[in-house]
Amino acid sequence: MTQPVRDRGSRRSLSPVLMVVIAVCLVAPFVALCWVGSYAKVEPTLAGFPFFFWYQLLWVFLTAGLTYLAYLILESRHRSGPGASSGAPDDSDASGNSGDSGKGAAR
Amino acid sequence: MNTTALTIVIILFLGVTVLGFAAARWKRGDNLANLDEWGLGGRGFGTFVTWFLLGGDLYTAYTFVAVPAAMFAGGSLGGFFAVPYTIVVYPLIFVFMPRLWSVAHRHGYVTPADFVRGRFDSRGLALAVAVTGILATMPYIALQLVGIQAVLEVIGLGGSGNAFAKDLPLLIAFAVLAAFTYSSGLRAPALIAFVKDTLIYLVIIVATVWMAYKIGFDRIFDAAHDKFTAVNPTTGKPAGVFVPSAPTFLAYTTLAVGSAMALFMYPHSVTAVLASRSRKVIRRNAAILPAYSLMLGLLALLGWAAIAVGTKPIGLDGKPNAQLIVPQLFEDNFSSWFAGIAFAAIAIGALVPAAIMSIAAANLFTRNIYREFINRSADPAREAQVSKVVSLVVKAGALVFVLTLDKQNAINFQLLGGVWILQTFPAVVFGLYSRWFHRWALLAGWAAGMVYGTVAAYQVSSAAQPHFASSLSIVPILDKLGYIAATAFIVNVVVLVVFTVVLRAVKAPAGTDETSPDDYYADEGDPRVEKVPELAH
Repeated sequence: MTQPVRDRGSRRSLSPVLMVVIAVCLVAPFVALCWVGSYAKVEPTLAGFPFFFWYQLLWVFLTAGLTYLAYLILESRHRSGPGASSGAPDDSDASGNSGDSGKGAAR
Repeated sequence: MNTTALTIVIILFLGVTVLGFAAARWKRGDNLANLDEWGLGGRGFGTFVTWFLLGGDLYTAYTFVAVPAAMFAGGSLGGFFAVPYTIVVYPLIFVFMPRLWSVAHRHGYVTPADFVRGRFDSRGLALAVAVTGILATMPYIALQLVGIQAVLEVIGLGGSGNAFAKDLPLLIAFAVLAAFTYSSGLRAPALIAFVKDTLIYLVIIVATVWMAYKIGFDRIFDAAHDKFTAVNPTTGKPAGVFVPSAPTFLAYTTLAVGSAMALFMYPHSVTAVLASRSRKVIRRNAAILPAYSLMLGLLALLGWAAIAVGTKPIGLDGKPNAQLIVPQLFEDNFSSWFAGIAFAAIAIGALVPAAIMSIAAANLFTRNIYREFINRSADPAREAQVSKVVSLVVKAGALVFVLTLDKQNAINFQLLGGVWILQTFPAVVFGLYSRWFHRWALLAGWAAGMVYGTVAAYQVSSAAQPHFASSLSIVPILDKLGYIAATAFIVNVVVLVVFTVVLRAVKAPAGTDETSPDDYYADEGDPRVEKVPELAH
């Protein structure tokens, strides 16, 4: 049923250090926001906002930034890798030989 | 009646109606008679369009009405959890959705149930996922119409007169929605989402400036503090929650995380994600969609601004109704024309998710019920036709729901919908990573979670409501309040693991997996898998 996947392997895998950085970026919002006890308080207030509220709103920005950082790290592999092309997949796994490098192979 | 506001609502509504029909020609593919075109907009939306579409889809009109209402009536526990909820959903989308997108791209899957069918080779499990999706979506569509009703009620429409005149504005809005969804498919809400989101952001920016300069945030929080910490003399308990305290931490966390996990199991979220062009589009959007969460947080605070300025949400029947708090706040404190823009933002805001939800539910019916059990030889053109008709039926069902049943029923069912939809998480998300779980165990876990969640929700009572009074109940063993959906999910997973171990031990047939590991990384431009025609046809 499945077509054989074409030539691949030109895509570089991420170093373990970068994988950990990505994981931290994505897990941090969960840890911060699930730990309600760390922020369920009124003081210190900011511009009239009790801590509980401005802290959570702050995490909107932090999460956006961290998620974007994770995205940039994943993408950097394609830009610097030898198989860099618009068709290259951007998976989050370290297994560099899964997926196929689409347009790179077609050239 | 507020004529200026009504005029602005009508003008903007006419504008999006034209847009909805014109959308049929937008980025049009060669062959419209298939579900990829009608139901997924050609699977070609880029980062920009997807941002508006997903934002307009996930942040529904009902959210705009219900979150501030919850803040106004009960305080931060039931209202402000929407902020952490819509924050943690994006890392989840970043990780899981590209995999689902890839495998759907390779195999032409249109619904999450399509994937489950292919992965686990189980029509029963796929049917369970599809039926759960439809059941969870129907009341959600109904609540979009409730959002429109709230606006109409504050404008002064729909209160008196005979039943027909009362419901006429809603009927018109509904007919318009149904017609442009039928003719344009997913392209209509995608285009209208631009208008919706622009209006919403405009309204929120103005409202925030108003809160900061006309009232002052310290006054808003002081008013809420006074209201919710005041002890009710009859119950001896505080009137609500200003900032959650230790006994409700678990409730806050499970509401946030449980809702986040449930959100992207909803068929309408999956539909909008599968309509994107590539994995990159999904990941980029996970980083830029939190802009909507900030907007939702500010909107939630409008519920407390209403406390500070003393807004009284009284319905046309003369009874207090917290659901009217946001429209009433705009009616009382802003000029008529700006109130009109705010009302239009909510009413148009209802059209986008309602359209996508009806498309998603229709796709589920067509792919996983009609093609699977009724007409196995349906070709793509036939599928598209069935979906278009079913999208009408689904919306008509939602309309009947709203017009004939008490509004509270729609809210109860939506609460249950969240509980139910989370029970499809193991089949879909665990399935994206592993085939260790047995298909029958997934079905057993799903059934256990559904039953536990439904019973637990039914048993929650309050002074005002004998059943379905809250989405929180006592978690067994922990003996603390928690989100029912999350507890049901744990029950689901325990049953799933136990049954899997047993079924694998007795070597129950696991079925054939039609996907291969590479499929989960496929990207834009990669070829589709061609199905081998089945000889039975």
